[in-house]
Amino acid sequence: MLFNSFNYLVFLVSVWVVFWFVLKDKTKWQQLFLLLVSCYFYMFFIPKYILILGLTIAVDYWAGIALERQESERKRKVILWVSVVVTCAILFVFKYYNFFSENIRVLSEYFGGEWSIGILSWALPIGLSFHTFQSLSYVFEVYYKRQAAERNFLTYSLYVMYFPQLVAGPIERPGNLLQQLNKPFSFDATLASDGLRMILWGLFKKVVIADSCAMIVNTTYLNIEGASTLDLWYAAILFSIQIYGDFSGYSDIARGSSQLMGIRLISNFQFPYFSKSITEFWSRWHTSLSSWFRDYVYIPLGGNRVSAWKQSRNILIVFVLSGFWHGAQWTFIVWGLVNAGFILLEKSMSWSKRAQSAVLIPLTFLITTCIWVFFRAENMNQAWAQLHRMLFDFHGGSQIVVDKKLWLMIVFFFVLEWIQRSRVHGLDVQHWRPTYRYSAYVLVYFLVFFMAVYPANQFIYFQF
Amino acid sequence: MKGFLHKLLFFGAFAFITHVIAGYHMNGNTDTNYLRFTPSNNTGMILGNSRAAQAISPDDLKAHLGLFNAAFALNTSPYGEVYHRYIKKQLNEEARDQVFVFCVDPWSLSSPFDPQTGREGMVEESKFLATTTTIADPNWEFMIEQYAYGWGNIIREHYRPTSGMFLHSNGWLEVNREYDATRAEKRRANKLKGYKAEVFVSNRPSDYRKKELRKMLQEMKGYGKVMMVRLPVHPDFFEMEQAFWPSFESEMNEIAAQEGITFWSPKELNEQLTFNDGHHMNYKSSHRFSGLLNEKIAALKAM
Repeated sequence: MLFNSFNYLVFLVSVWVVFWFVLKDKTKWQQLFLLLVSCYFYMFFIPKYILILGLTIAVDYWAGIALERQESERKRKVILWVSVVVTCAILFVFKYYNFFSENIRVLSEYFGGEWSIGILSWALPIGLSFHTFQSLSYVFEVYYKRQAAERNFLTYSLYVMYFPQLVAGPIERPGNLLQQLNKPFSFDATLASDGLRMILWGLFKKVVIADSCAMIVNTTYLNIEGASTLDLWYAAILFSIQIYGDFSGYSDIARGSSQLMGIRLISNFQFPYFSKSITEFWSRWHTSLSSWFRDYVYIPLGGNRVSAWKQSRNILIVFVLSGFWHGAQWTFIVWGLVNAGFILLEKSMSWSKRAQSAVLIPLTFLITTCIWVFFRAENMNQAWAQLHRMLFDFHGGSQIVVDKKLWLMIVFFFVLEWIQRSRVHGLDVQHWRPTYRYSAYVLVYFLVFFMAVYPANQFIYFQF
Repeated sequence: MKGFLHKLLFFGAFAFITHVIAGYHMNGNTDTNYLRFTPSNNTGMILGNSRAAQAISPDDLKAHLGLFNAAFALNTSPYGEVYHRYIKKQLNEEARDQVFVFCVDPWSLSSPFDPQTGREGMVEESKFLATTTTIADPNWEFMIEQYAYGWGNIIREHYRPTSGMFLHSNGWLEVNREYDATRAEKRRANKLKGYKAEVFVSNRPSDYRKKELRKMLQEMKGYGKVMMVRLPVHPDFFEMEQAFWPSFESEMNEIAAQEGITFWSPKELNEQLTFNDGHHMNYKSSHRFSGLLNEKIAALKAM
């Protein structure tokens, strides 16, 4: 069930009505209801994969309680490792096995052998990386004694399965979500109103901006060899806009849906394309993942409190892992490495502090655009070929037909986000005068009404 | 909660009303399939893929008025259970003097086969023809499930159409493209290249589709006269199709003979008609071809 579908609208409205009108003040029933509808939501994709999710939940639920009960540090470590290994093994089998298998085969061929461990043809469970990391964050928090183990299996299951964030995040922490799930649900009209604004704005980002860009980007990527330098730049820039509109739009709808249930989810994006450096970009882009790696990888490795070269090593490790988290392909690993390279470069230079925003923001956007090439490319050859042609090998014969309406929408999108950059989201306008506020709602509604495209493609981050 | 509900209901009603207004603007300009999912009150049907959808104008078939062009596209309406179910929904079950024109070509009777498992792929099973269950006017199910744009676009396309295609209420898809030999030649070359690289390689003649075709022929015979037609295509396309399925004509003749129906394959028209892309007739040729088909239908009715 996609967030931008009619099915989801019916689903959300039905859930909301039952949650607040039928089950009002019955916390346990509300929890159970949310869990059941979350299962239903997940089973819309590949029903049998709910068993995999069930296994992850059961193992980490057990691990949490066992960690809390156990006093021996050695045994606690064993429990932690059992939980991490089992949870990651599921992720490995479904997401990474074929990558390793293929690379073993290639390596064996290189050395003249014919060794192969076979290929699995199983579909990747939707959002597997997201709920794996969310579940792991609970185990880590309990291990570090920052979170009490959840005794109620229903509440813990809901923490992992809560439908707004189940398939593409934000990757929640128990300190935020689990605590809210443990309290009686109370309706907050301000929160719910903001939730509706987020849904509307998220929908605009997804169906007007991202999906319109996607049509041009996909066409160019179908024929990379025949595209001119200008075409490739155009597609790369539009992909930067597409992926932001797609993922932040998804996140806004997820957070907005959750706020209708009275639950706040953490913010995932803070206007990342207004960053003045790649380092800043990563403190604003997909922050629920960045902070996960910071807290559970970077800091345990020593973080900033180690020598300069170890700090660099830590940054490299985090970004390679982050790239690999996105997908089992070399393109994602290189994407992570290149990001790390720029961050290390920025650390060693001080130019970013002196230059002006007017220079740094567009420059950062252009660098990010080039780095996204690895993210979008089918393979490394395609990525290198595209970058080479974009940067060093000019090819004429551009076939660009500028879609004025799309660019008008993009300009509107970024101008409104710029005006709102100190707020929570682009349509966070409750402080505006009512006339302006309602005009803004109607305007954005009509932009969606007239300009939306609903192709069959999913949200980009669903594949992770 | 009360204040929030009032606002929610106000905006909900506003969104609902604007969508309903838009829905009532659906017509042949706004979507190239929608009208085929509204009741057709037909006296027979034309079946096939996009070649048939563009080639046969029911208004030109004076020998039997009221025919409905129920042809879709290669990936949507190859002969099979999905298409059969749809045809049954549009079928006029009262009349027994109807006419059914089955357009056949190697692609509408073939399927992609998995090279590893040898399993036949049913490309149409995930398409709108399989998933849309109702025939209604207005057809909200079709609009909700299939319309791929914001519904405001329906109003815009209704008053200022931009697609250059118009689906008549009788099912004929008129593509308003003036024939330009140079551009048509370029499109033909690209299309032929695409076919050779894709369907020619992935598809194989399908026993399942032939069986389904025969089932449909037999069923429709109960409602009137039935004929099969192989539509003209550019000679290069014809040559590729012959290479793909050399015995196609003889197999169709055999089916026609066994079912006691006519099979018309006017190969001589391949050179005479013009095609927008090598296999979809230009609308002017469509009228000419429909005129010739009209004579065949007249003869069929006289039999």
